[in-house]
Amino acid sequence: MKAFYICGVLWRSSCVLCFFLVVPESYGSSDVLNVSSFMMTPKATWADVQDVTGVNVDTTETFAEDGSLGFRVFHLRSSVRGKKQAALDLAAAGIIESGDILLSFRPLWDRTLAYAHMQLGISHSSIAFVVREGDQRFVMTLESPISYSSPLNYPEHYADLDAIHVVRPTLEHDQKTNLERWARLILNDPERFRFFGDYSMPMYRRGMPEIRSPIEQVEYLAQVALGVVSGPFESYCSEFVWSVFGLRNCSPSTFEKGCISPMFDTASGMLPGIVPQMVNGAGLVQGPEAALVNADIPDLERRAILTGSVFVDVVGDPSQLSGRMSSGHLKVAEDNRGNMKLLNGYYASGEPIAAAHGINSTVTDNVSPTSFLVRSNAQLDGLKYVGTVVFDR
Amino acid sequence: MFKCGAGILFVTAILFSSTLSVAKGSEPTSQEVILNYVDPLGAYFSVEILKNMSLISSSVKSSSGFHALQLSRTPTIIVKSKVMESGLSTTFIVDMPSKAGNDPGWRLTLPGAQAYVLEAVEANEVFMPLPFCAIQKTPPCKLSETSSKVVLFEIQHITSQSVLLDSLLRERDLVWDDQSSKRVITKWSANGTLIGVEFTGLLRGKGERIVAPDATSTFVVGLSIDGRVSIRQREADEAVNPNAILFSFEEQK
Repeated sequence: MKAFYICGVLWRSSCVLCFFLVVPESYGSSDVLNVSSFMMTPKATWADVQDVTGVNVDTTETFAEDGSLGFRVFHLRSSVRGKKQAALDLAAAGIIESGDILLSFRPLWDRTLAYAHMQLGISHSSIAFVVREGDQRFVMTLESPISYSSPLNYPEHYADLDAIHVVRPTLEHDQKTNLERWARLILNDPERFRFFGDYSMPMYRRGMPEIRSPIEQVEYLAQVALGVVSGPFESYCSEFVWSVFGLRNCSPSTFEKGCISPMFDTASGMLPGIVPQMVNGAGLVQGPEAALVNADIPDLERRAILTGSVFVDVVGDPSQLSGRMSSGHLKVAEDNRGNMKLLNGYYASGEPIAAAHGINSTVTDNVSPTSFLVRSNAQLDGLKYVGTVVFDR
Repeated sequence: MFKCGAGILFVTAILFSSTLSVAKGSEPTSQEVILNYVDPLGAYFSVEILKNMSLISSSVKSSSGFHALQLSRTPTIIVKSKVMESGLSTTFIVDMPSKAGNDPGWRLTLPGAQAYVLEAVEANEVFMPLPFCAIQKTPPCKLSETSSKVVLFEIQHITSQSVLLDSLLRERDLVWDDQSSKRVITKWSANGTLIGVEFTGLLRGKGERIVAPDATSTFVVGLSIDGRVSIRQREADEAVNPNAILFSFEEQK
C-alpha cells in the first residue's frame, strides 16, 4: 500500500498511471480496516499462529503509523462472505480453533459516536468450533440468538458482515472437549435458549429468584443444557458466550457447581465499569485505553486520543449514521451520551480513583461483546488476538 | 494525496481493485464496491432516492432535464406562529446529465422526521467548487463520481419503470425497516460500468421481528442493468443440521 501513497504524493497527474502499475502487486488489500488506531489491537497481544495454509486465504499485517497497533488480516474471497465456503476456507487454513471467540467488527462505527468508539466497533460475539460433516471440516458457531449458530452463513447476521475478529482463550485439550460437549447439548435442544435484548441487564439482575450472582447464572445454563430445568435460558450474545465459557472445567456427565469458573479474573467474574489506572484489570469501558496502554503509547498522547478521538461524538447528523449502525445501537449511543462525557472528563482529569469508583457505583458488572477484546488488549485472562477475517480477495 | 481530482479517481480505483475477484493469471470479472465505505453520504443519498422512488417519479418523468440533484435539510423555526425556513443546513449534490437548458427544476419534501428536501437544480458556480464528500466527510459537499453513477442509475430506473418499489412492497407484504443499518452494494463490470446496485436493511416482512440489534432482514432490493427493480430474499446457501455434525470428541468415539 505504501507504493500507492508515494505515487499519489509525487505525481498528481499520473495517479492513474501509478495505479495501473502497482495494483497487480496489491492483491488482497482492503480499505475496510482503515480505522482509528485505538480500534486496532496491540501487537504485544497477538497470538502466535502457524503460517496459514490454504489456497483461499491470504495473510497480511497492517499497522497504524508507529507500528504498535494494527491487525493481522486474513483475506478471504469477497464471494464467500455469508457463505458456508468461508467456514470451509477458515477450517482448511487452520485459522480457527475450537473455543475461539468470534467478534463481529463494524469498521463503519469508527469516527461516529463516543459509545461506538468505546465498544471498539464490536457489535456481537460467538464461539467457534471446528466440526465435521461427512468429508467436510468447517467452522460452526454457537451463539445467541441460537438461530444464528451456523457455518458463518446465517443471512440476518453474516451476509453483511465485513470483518470478524478472532480472539483465542487459553484452553487445555480437556477444556475444549468440555466446551464441545456443552455445545452439543445446547444444539440438541435449541428451543430452550432464547435471545434477551437488553444488554444492560445481565441475568443475575433480572429478579430471577434462583439467579442472584453471575456464577448462579452459569449454573443455570448447565441445568438448562442438561435438561434438569426446563428453562428457557435467555441471554444476549456476550452473556451467552461468557456463560458457556464458565463451564469449560465442567464435564456434563459429572457436573457439579464447584467446577464453574468464570472466564474473567474479577471479583464477580464479569467486568466492572472501570478498573482505576488499569491496575491488574480492565473494565467494560477500557477497550481503547487498554489498546493504547499495551501499545506503549505515551501518557499525554494516550490522554489526547481518549479525550479528543474516543470519547467524543464526531458525527452529529443522523444522515451520516443510518448507513453505519442500526437504530438500536444509535439509541444506546444517544442514551449514553452523558456517560460518555463523564468518561471524557475522567480521562481529561487524569483518571482520579475516586471518579472511577463513582462511575462504577452506577454500573452493573456485566459482559459486552467488546469485553473479550478489552481483556485481550489488556493481556488478561489468557485471551489473545489471533487476527481479523475480511472478505476482499 | 487526496486533494486533487485525479486523486479522487485514484482512491476510487484502489477501492474498486480491492474487491476485484481475480484468480492470479485470469481475467477480471465483476467487481463489488460497498458504497458505505467509499462515500457514506453518497450511500445515504442513494438510499433516500430509492425509498422515495414513487414520490420522485412524476417529477423526474415530467422534467426535461436538470443539472444536479441536491438533498438538503432545512431546519424550520416558528416566528409568531409562522413557520419559516431558516436556510440550508446540509447539502449533497450530484451532477446529472442535462437534456435541456430551460427546465425550472423541482423541489420535493421527503417524508420523515428529518424533513429533507430533494431538489433538481442547476449546477452553477456556487455548487461546482464544493469538495467531494468522500474527502471532506461532512456536508455541504459534492458526491463522488461513484455515488453520482449510482444515483443516475436509480433515476434511469425511475424513468423507465411503470411498477416501482412501493408496488413490489405491497405485493410481497413488506414494509420499510427503520431498524437496520442501510447498506448499498454496487456491482461493476470489468470495464467500470455499473451493472447493478443492491440495498440491504431497507425492508422487512410485515410481521417479521428482527431479533438482534445488529441484524438485518433478509430482503434485498436490487436494480439491474436491464432496468428491473426487484426484491429477493437472502437464504443460507447451505443449511446445516446440527445433529449431523461431529465435534472432535464425537469423531474420536
